Amino acid sequence: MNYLQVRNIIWFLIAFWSISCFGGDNFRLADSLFERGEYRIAAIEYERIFFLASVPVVRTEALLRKAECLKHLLQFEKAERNLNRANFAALNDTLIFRVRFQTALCAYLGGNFSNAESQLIQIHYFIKDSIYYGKWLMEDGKREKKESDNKKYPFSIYHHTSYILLYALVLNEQNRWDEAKEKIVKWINLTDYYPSIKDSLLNIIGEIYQSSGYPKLKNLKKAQILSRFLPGSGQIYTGYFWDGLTNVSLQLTALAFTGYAIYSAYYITAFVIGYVIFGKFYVGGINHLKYLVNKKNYELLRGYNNRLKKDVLDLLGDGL
Amino acid sequence: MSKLFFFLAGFIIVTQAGFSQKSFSDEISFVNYLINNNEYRDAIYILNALEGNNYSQNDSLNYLLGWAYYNIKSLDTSSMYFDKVSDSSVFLNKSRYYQVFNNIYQGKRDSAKAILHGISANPELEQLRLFELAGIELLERNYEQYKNISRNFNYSYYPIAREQEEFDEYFISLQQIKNKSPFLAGAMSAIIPGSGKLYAGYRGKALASFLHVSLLGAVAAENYIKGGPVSPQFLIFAGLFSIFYTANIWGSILSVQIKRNELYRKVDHNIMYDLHIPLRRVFD
Repeated sequence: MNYLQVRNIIWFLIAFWSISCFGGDNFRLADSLFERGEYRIAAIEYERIFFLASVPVVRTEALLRKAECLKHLLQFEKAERNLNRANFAALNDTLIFRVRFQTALCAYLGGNFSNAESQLIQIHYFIKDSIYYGKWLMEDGKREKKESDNKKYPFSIYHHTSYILLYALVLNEQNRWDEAKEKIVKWINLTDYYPSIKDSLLNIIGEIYQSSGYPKLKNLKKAQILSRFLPGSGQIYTGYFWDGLTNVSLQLTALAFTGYAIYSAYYITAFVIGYVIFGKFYVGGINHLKYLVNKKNYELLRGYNNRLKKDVLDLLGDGL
Repeated sequence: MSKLFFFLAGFIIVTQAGFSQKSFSDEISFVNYLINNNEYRDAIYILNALEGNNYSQNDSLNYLLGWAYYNIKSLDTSSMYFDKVSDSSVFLNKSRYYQVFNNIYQGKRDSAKAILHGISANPELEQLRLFELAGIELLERNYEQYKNISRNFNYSYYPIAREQEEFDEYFISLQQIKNKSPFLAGAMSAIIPGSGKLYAGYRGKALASFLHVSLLGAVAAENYIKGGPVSPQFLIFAGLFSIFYTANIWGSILSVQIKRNELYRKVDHNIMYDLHIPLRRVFD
């Protein structure tokens, strides 16, 4: 081996040593555990990376991968709390979007829809969107859009179907179907799709989100007023026919017995039976309506939202 | 040049080996970080995978395991690990006192007392030791032993001063809990339905019992007067009245013991709380 060859080998060894000590080997163990399905141990190793790393990008990546582990373990609230530790200073827009989007997704999966919406709103307002920014520059006459703006603000939520898909699902779960429809329509209009595809999507959205198809929820006050004047009618209005029939039958029986007791001069018996059976079932029936109305409304909303979720997912694809 | 080449190759191999192994102290730092972030189960997983090579390392492992299991309310396992901490460890005092608390919480008061008696004299913690012993005597209703121990309270060691005063109040309130007679409660309810429950200390239940039994009695009497002793209405309502009347008497007999247990449980809960909080102040 001559002098030049040895020198080259030495420089190679120095470069190899630097990269393997300070470069991208951090995630190897944790990623291999994740690939093998050992999510709990992988989560601990990602936490170790977060603990040891000082570079913000590495720490954020560790949080994101830990959140994936926790999602596989169905610990969505913990995954959301984990992602809330991300520090957005010194991160680029793409990474910020990934963190906020995953936080919103974990919040949605954990049933915390208001938190999910909050994250999605922050994506919209705190990440400079290239499409919106371009429009603002041109419409307000501030200045002409430059080519360098695309490099400065490369990110746009309108290039991410997953964003609008999750937003629609979150609004649906909060029963804000008109808002969900408005958001999807606005998003479609700002995408780069061909006009024919846009029209087709808008028609389908119109069919999915027809206001005539919204569930007609039961009103508790109305049900209670009905039951006050006609026992059992509140239960029937809510949709529980046999509950109403049983309730009214028991009350009529009690009334009939009370009337007969008074007619036969059994006054104390009439008072006790009338108070105990009629009174308890009358008041109890009205109080029970709160449970029945909530149950019926939950069933109506759940059924509608499940159908809506399937339609929206089929339309916008499994971007999640 | 070839010497430099071999030196660099050797250096790279050694450092790569060093970077790939995690040292015991690094692992303990990570475990402390997990514990500070309330990730106790993760900390337990890491600790169980570690092996210490000397006493001080084993003491750290056992103490941290005891602490992690204590925080996930696995008190039996926590006590087991605290017990393994050696007498020369810096974690000894905290381990012993939390072991005492774990044992008290699980009802193992004799073990707790044995540990307290075995703790070596430490002027700084003597008041705490006496305080814990006094708490156990109160829980066991050994009032004479409590009085003997509490004579040594100085009420000036700030982590436990307030709790020492509260123990004296619990001592008085425990002695004021009267032993009421269940037979007297039953007899009272036999004469006036519900009065036995009032004697036991229940007002709402006494009124409800009185109303149920007396109304059914009135209905049975009315049906007896108007229908006769063999009329079906009388037999039904007399049967209902008998059931409620008997239940009223039986309920009154039981209510004396139930009420007494409720009062004792309330005081015991406060004693346990007062035994626990000072440990956090002293050791955390």
